[in-house]
Amino acid sequence: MFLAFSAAQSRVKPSLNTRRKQGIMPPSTRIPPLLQPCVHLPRDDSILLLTSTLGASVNWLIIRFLCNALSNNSGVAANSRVGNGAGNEDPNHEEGLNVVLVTWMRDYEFWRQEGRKGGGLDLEKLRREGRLAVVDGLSGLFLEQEDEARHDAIAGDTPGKTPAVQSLPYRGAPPSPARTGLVPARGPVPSTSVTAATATATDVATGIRRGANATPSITATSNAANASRNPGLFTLRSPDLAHIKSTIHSAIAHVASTNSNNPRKTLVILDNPDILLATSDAQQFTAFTLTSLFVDLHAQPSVSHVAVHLQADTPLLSQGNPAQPIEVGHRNLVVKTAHMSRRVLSVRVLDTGVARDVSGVLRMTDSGSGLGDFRIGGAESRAKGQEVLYKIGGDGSVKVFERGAGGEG
Amino acid sequence: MTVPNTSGAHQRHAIQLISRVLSVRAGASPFTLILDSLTQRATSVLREILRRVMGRRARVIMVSFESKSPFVSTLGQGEDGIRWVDAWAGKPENLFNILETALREEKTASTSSRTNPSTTSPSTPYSPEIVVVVDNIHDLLTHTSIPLPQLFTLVAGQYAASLIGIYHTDLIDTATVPSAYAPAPLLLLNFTATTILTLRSYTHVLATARAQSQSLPEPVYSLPYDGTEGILEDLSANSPEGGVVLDAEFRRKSGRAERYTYFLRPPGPSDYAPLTDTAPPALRKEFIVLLEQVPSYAIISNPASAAVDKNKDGMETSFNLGLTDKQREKRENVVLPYFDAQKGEGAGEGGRILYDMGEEDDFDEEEDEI
Repeated sequence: MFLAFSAAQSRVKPSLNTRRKQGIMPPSTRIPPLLQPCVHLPRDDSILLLTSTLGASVNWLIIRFLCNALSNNSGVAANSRVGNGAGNEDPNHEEGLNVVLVTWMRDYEFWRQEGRKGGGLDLEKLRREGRLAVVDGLSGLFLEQEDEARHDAIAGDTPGKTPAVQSLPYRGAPPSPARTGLVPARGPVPSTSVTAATATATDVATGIRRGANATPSITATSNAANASRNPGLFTLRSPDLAHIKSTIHSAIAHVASTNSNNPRKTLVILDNPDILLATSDAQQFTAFTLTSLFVDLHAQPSVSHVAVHLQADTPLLSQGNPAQPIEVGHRNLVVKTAHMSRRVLSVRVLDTGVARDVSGVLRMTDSGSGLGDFRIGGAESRAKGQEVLYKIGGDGSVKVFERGAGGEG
Repeated sequence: MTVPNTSGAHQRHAIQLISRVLSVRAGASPFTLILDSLTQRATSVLREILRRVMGRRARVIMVSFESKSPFVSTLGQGEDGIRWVDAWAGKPENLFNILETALREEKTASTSSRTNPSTTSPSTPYSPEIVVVVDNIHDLLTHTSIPLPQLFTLVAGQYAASLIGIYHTDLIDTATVPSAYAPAPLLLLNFTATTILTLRSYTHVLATARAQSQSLPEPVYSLPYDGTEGILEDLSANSPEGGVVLDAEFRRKSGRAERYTYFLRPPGPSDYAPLTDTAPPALRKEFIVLLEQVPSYAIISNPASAAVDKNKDGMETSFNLGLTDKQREKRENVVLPYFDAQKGEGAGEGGRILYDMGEEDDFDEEEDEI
């Protein structure tokens, strides 16, 4: 049986490779079959939790979520492949979903390139079509500090941008080719996006300074200009809970309004909101307020699913003696979000150590449908908890296999 | 009330106790505390409670910190009678007033539906009972300004409603500086609750019992999983085989506590009456049992009793080792050879050899003398 399996694999491979070379691979085929039950969204509205550790990044999985939601026939494809169904058919998903991506640890440029490389997605096009909105929580909130410092110390010989780039932590990335060859991977970057990115950067640089020299009019004009030039690209400009909430709300409203004739549900992906616990006002950002924010976003009328990515490293989940507020806050945030979420997807490194042909382990646990499902018998139907191994290739593709089934290359 | 003596009556008594708590009968337990964790979440038990409560047409106020209302309309089929309070929205300080308003409105709604049922709805009138569920009572105590006694007075005292609170035991109490004058929330809840249900995954209970029976160290299912970084939920969490184990402690009015361990399986189609348009399904027959009554658990936890049961059935072979009555009768009638020789007639007399010469025997005197 194993022979037959490997033979089938080798037969499939060349065709995939040729298609990939031609660049016509549809995004939905970037999701390996074993990953389908994990990435395919549950039928009822729910919150999903993705956790990662320092050695195992979850970015590739977020890209697959984007692929699944943004491809037009995601629901149909996934159902035919999942086979068992298990109450997962959802007519709402046949059209795909709109996506609001809120990112705190990466900027939009990173997701654009990763999406193209790993998922075959043109996020730029999808954003202009109104399928995708990106809320950038990094450049407006954290990179400005460096810019400010640069402006303040302009007399000195600070090399400007360099510290800002270095302060961008490349978390969770073992030195794999997927990461190292990031920027020059696919030839020249389209010039329009470069100008857009630089425009955003200058907007940030000019508009953010909250000092005496930054007048409100400048901020307002730069915001408006930003909105007209980059539809669907929002920037968080203040570490304030109300501001964050209203910005994400307007992003949700943006994707909901652009396709008003074709109402799709919206998937909100929050990438690393736990950074707010560590970096911002400890009174304002607690596990309680952040989880309330998650539910608030989930309760928006057009939103059907919220996927939250949090760190689950052991030092963040265990307490020292005495327990530090950040430790307690982070652990409570992760645990309460896990309680709130229907499905938990955890990515970690291989338990037995580093292996050349395995990047990490993905564990999925599903707790079944929520309180609203009173159907007798049907309420208990849920995806079976499972663990799979994955390997991220140098070209951004991902191979997912069960334990003992990999290692062929 | 005396605890009955026979085991059958004992079981009936225990099951009646939990049945009254799960259906939230008036006066059975004014404040039920449910302790859950990521290894076994309270969702399935709470769903069972809500199903029974709604089957009795009691009103439910759900104070939720953790989810939006899963119901599209508040008056849809089956979920009629659940009022959802979004405790995550708005200012936490206002929650007490919101709750009080909800209780007052529910009270008037239930009384008016009973006095003139024809005007409000064609279905069966609501029972006057109200159940208040808080899905994260830790957040209620630490992040709103409602002290537990005040909440308890409002719910159980003023409106004679039952309070059900869920506490996630894997959350850390956020009061970093414990006050010298107030106990920690969990301690306070433990003292106040009239019934405490601690939930465990049945799969974990089986694994623990198996380890105990072999004197092995018991598996640990709590955060953080030391040794393996990045694991949040066990693969066998939330009972993938179905069924939840409840460690229940009932505090009687006298102050005496009774403890039992139950097994709640997921309901089947025969457990509830079929859904009608007018009323939610009512429970037909109680299906929660004591854990010791579950066969798959009893075999592991008490192998001795299981072994005795096996001996009754005899060895498992493909042969029939038994005897029919006729065979047994014939076997008993057989006289064993030399039976007379066994009769001792005094000392030295036993053990003679009695031999009847046959035709073919040749008597040899000399041989006999040797």
